[in-house]
Amino acid sequence: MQLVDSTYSLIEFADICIAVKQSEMLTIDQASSVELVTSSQGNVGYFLFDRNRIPTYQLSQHLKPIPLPSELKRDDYCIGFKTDDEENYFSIICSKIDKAEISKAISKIQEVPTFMRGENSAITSLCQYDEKLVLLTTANLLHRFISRYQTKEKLHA
Amino acid sequence: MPELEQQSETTSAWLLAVSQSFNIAVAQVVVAEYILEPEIKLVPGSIDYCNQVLSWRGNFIPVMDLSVLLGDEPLDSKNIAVIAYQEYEGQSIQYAAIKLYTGVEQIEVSDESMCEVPDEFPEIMIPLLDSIFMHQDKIVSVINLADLCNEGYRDYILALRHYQNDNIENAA
Repeated sequence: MQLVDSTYSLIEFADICIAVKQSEMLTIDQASSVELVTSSQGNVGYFLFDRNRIPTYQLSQHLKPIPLPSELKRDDYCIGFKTDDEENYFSIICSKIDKAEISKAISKIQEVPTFMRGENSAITSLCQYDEKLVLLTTANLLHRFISRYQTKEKLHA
Repeated sequence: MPELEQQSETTSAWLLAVSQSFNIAVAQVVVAEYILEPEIKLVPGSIDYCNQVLSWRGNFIPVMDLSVLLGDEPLDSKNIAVIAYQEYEGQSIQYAAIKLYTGVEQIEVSDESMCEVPDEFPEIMIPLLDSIFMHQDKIVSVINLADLCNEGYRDYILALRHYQNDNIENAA
């Protein structure tokens, strides 16, 4: 399904919840459509989008790729992203995605203090939504962060 | 920030054990709240000694684990002190939380208890150090909390780690 608006989507995995603008998302599909591979590049497999195989990552709560494919659950999702420059495409596995518009509901977004940020930190801001801590990020920042763990092969296959 | 409250020749302060072996003292007014078993949440990708937040009075505030900064094991989150600081006079009060190894203890500090910085003092804390004193055979540091919660100190830590990693790689 193509997503065209620019509101945020909540994406849950590994007991964390990130929010990414829907305009930076390419597609959402069942994780069962991911072709699992054993890879030394950090990805657990590939996802076919628009005739391109884009790498799929399963991320830990620290946003580190978990390289060995664990068994994907029937109700997991795979979400494809593109970076601003449209140079890089990648996808991640998540357990839940909330497609509701949350931009209006987020009344109090706080920037992550600069002194907290690590190198290439992917999280820009925080907010509380539905009693959850929501971590705001972008496809660019996620890609840059994941790339730290992947050196030999470009993310865009 | 208000100065330590003067009571004749001694000053009242809170003693905070921020790791198994490192103690700091802060003015009483600096500790905004002492919380037992708070619910803290991870902010992935943040610097390792400050990668969690606490929801406190309607805001998320950073949670520091100085044990990690000192190269020790992370502390659990059973004891946390919310501290108040100002980077400069006139700035609104900022808040952060510090994980504690044990509960807080009220102490009295006098000029006579001040001491020299010992040789084994952690180098990583030197840029933050305002003064140091002895309390019941323990070395207690008074550190600049505003500097601790400043990107300049974070940059110093990152640069120090890069330098140490480069040395390790060169040695190998």
